[in-house]
Amino acid sequence: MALPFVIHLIIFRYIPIVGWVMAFQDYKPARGLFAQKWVGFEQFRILFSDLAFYRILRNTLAMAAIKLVLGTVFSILVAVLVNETRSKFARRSVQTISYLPHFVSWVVAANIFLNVLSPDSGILNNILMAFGIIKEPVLWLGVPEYFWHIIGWSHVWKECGFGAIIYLSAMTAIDPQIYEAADIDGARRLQRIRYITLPGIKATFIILLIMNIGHLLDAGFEQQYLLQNGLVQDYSEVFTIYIMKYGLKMMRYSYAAAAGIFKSVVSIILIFSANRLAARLGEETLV
Amino acid sequence: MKRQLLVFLMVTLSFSLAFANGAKEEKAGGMKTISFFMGHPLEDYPAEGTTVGNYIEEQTGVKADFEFLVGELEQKVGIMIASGEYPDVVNGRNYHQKFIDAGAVIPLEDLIEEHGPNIKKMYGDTILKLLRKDDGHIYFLPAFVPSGKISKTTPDQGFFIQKKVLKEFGYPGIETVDDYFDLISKYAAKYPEVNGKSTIGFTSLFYSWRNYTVMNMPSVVTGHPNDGSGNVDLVNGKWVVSQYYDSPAAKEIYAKYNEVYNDGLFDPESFVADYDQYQAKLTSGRVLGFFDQTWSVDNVQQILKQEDKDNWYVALPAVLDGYTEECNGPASPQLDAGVSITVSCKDPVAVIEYFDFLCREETQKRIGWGFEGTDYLVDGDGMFYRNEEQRARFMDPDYTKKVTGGYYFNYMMPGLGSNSSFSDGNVFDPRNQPSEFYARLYDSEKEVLDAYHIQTWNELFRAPNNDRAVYYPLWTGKMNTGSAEEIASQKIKDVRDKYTPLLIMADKGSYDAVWNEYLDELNKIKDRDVVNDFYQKLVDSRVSVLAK
Repeated sequence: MALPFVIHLIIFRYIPIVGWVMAFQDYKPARGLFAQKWVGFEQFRILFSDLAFYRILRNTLAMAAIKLVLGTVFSILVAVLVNETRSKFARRSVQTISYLPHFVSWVVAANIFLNVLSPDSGILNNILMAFGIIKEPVLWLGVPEYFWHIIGWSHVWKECGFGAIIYLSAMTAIDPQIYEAADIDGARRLQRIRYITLPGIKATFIILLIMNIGHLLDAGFEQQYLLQNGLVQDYSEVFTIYIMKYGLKMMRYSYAAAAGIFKSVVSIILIFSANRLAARLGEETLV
Repeated sequence: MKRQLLVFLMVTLSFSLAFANGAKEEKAGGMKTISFFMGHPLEDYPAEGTTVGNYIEEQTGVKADFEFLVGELEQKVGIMIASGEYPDVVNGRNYHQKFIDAGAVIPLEDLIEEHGPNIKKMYGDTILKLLRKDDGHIYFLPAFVPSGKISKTTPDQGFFIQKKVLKEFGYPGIETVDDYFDLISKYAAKYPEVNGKSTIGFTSLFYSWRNYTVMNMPSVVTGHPNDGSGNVDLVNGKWVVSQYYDSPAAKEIYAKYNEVYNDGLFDPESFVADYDQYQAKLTSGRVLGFFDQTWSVDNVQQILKQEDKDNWYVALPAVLDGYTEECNGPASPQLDAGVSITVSCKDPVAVIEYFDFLCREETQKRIGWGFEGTDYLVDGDGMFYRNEEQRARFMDPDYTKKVTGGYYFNYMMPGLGSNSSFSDGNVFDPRNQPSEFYARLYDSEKEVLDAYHIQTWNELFRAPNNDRAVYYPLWTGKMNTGSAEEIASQKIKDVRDKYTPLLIMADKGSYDAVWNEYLDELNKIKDRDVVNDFYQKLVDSRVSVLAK
């Protein structure tokens, strides 16, 4: 049964790895892969000696971590709240409303945020001014320090409902008898959540965590690309944008490949470390 | 198990190969088909045909199969190059150089020599020489060829100001940037609100590549035409390129913007808004002024003029004290992109013959005007004009797309520029034919023209310096992808993207400090002179071609 998927994996995930040789060449298109000029580690040298590289590494890790933490916390929160809701109608509607944004493309979502955060007629400025919290409208998207916040919270808005689905399904797998037993022992609602629900989804949580740690260098692309502007570029440029600007756009495929290899190697190291750590703590592991 | 895998692989592979090669070189009823990729997001060519399109089809026996851009051009071009599969003809617009760098297109000069008498006639020797790349080959034929008398009715760019502001102060003459902003601040002080919302004195656009509205200012306000990539000045009989992003004029104009910002007249949302938000804001009627190129605000102007509330904009020339205005550049061919025949094309001769047909004057007349009798009339002097009914039909901007189809054969195909004239003196684009231009004006527009005692908008501006034609414009010079100058100019761009807004937003008194920080950042870029060297070489080579 798994065969087609394995083949798919081989064709689309393993065969392209051959392209890694590009990173050690000065690749020019319309010429065979092996008819290229070999340059050794030159592309990596250029990459690591670019001052922008370290800033971009910082931004990528920071935004990915923010998104990981906020995304996970809020997904679990939504899942717990939905799980505790008795009314079937309320459950359904909350779930649907909260996961719908997931299907909105970032192009649309970014425009929504541009409007919400607008200093001219944006709803956020209007609300804050109506309550007297701020006096003058704030140019939210123009302040470098706010950019990571905007990325984090817009991610929560868009993804927390969808992320909650997997936790919700883990919760339904918990044996209801345990809850009944707890009731009889006089556990209150918060105690039930604390001692039954949360431990019940721990395995799922750890597996997801390990997998997400592997994606720490994928802080996203469209989200930053569409929300950034010149003012905040020191905080908004991530790896993928850098690769596009200085690699693909300039047809420096080799340079892009070198950056890609760096990314993959770091990701593999991160995954295995997270896995080892989980194993050492006696938790569920991935590999 | 192994055999299963093998069979599956073979089936998948053969399918993908079959699809990759499919559907090309089809012949529809004895007609040849030429496939085009056009790097511009147009609606699909009308399936039921168009009058001009059908005429071209009948005459040439060639059916044009257009594919227009969906999504981002740069990506699309990249994917085509990576796959190595091309239609017969490509026009990659501002990314066209990539096709050439990738060896995707074939040299055209021999084909033109043998099969293109009309191409040679329309482009002329000079342009064909200019189109030759360093290796001596011609790779593409551009659209918008200048030819005959140039009839210009609207300026290329300018400081736009709302008509109601001019009207309020009795249509004053404006010469300097200070005059312009004085007028805006006077009006804003008098009318702080428009329709219950605050008046916006001046807005700009920092979004993506459209940020030329801010980035080109140091060049514009020192009286340079739209060269974009640098200032070009005649020094001791030689055209010399210089970069303006760190010039004294840059410091002065952004200081002016900074002053306007601190007076609360510069729209703070400019720094983060995208093109849609910008257009929406302009159409709201709240914005008194902005700087842009004329084509970029065509839609906005159209809507505002139809609304007829004096909220539309007049483009004015304005420079810093001590400079002479030269907003308009000479008519110039597009030297950076056009149609190219790709290596995948099986019959390049048929394609060049097709282009040659398009370049005939009779074809160009039909593309520009339509058919005599139905779409235009000819007066006793041989000048074309339209009657009321015809004009009304063509007022609909979709008419040349959906009915005549001329748009599809002009915009990205070899053809004349909209200001160019035929050998009989008629202008290619009816909208630029003086009689038609005036007939199409709204009354509200005529009011302004009369107040300034002029016939066309362009008369507010000085005539272009035609000596510049030997190199103009600089921005069509494309750097080789991945070259040292391209990397350096991207780094300069990054620094400018960050610091230009910071300069404008600087607190009172701290402008000089931000300016010095900006210079420091620029100085961190290793050998940024390669950028200027590149453009100097480009100008030198264009001048030498034309001097021969």
